Amino acid sequence: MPPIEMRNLSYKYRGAAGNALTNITTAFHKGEMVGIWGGNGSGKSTLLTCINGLIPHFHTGDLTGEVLVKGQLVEDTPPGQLALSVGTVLQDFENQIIGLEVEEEVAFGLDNQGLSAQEIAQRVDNALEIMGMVGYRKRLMQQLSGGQKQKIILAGVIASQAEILLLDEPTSALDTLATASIYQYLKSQQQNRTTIIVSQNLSNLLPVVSRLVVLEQGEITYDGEPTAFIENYLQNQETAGHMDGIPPVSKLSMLLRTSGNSVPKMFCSVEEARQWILARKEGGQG
Amino acid sequence: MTIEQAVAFEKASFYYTKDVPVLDNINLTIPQGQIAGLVGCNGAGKSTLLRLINGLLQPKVGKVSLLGIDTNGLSAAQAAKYVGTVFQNPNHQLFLETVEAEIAYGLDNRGLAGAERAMRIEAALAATGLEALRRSFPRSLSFGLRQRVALASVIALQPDILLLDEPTTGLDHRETERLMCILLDQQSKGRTIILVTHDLELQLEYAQRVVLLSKGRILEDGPPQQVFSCYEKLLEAELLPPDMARLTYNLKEYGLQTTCSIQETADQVTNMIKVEGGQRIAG
Repeated sequence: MPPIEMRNLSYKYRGAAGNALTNITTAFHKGEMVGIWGGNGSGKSTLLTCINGLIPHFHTGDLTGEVLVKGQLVEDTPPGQLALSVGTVLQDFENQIIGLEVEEEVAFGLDNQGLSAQEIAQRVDNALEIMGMVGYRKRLMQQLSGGQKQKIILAGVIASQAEILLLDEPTSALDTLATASIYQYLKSQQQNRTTIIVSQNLSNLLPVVSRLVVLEQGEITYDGEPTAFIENYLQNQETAGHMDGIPPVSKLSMLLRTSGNSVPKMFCSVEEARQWILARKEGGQG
Repeated sequence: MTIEQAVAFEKASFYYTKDVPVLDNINLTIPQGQIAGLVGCNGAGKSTLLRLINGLLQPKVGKVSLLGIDTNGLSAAQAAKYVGTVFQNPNHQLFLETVEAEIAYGLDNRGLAGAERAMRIEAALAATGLEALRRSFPRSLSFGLRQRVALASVIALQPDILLLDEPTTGLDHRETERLMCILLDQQSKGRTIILVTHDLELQLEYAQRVVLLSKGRILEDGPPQQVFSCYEKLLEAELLPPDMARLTYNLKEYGLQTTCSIQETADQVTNMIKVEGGQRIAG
């Protein structure tokens, strides 16, 4: 049984003209790291909200079809119970701050899991260390910068060791180095959980995800291997207006092809580009 | 100093606690009409630098001038005549019932009325492409549109200097491009744009000049292509260099010059492979 299943899911916000999501049928599996990509208003955040129960428990609207988390219908499961297995970083992460102090904020979900004080202390330490925020333990949340707050929210989700991670633009306020290191950390932890990351930044997603789901106006228009999507897109540039934003490394593969080089697979990361170049250098064009 | 400088920092420092400077001895001039990018890791001092420009903070040491006027002695309200600020999250600056009311709010505070007020509202709506949404409730608009409303309400005040703190966060490529077009249009009217963003690719495309800030000091200052090719300086500033700079830097032992241009990288790599292939055949 996949941890997350969606069957013919459609959702319309109250008062909205059209559907935010239309007829979504898919499943997300254990060990998978999935990127969800699409333009503003394509339904990315709504999709996550249907998994963590904010829809239908807090947002009212018309929901049809089914969403199951660990085999349980989301609409029949109290949000508090869902939160024990689903960790979420909201796009507007400042809205999810509950703790007064950093330590309290990171420990909030752990207290709710009923963990021992010793276990909580250990997990808080560990999560703050991963996020490079050890020195901030006693600081007030409201005194932190936007980027620091986002790191603490991420630390809380990491500390929860939730089986399902829903991350909506989780590094939007972070600098590039912090962003890259968080994505690498999430990748290193992907085996035992299901990680779903919403981002408009393909350069962040492509090096780490093995599956890309593309949403356009509430519908899934691509679901599969990321490089195949880029190939397909580049061959059909007019697909949609929002879709430039192709990562520089992928553009590089295209330019190299134009110059007569054989690049069988689009680059998704700097490392892939480097490997290809070194292989050509050693082996010549043959 | 001549009036051509929109912003001038002269040996300016700022600290909350004296032995921990947030900004340390900053010397920086930004000429009128420039799009200047500001980059640095979280905590480098970018937001503090912006606050010294928009008058929310005053330097503890040294001097900051706007169009030749010392900010020391200017209240934030007086500084707002020269400087308009757009924050990262438009939700923090939108609170009225309609887009039009949002734009009019700042004008009313300035005591503008009649034809001038109406003309400025129209111009701001036109500049941001929001004419059709003038009666809409700002908070029901998409994030990208809300960001444009925030920008429109600042543009209406016709500030000489526009400060934008991560204005493209949460915007898709299309909305980002629209926002940048609005800024280019403002630049063409002689306004100075100071753009803080972690998106180095965006800086490469639009900024004429980039200031790299690290631990409260200016580490590098120059055209973006040049600054973002300073691989070691970027790492020192705890920033991940752009993809092409990382790739070419890591192949420098094969004679590649560090660059952040995709085309230059492709040309260099193609040449390198050709030369190597040629040698192989000759050998």
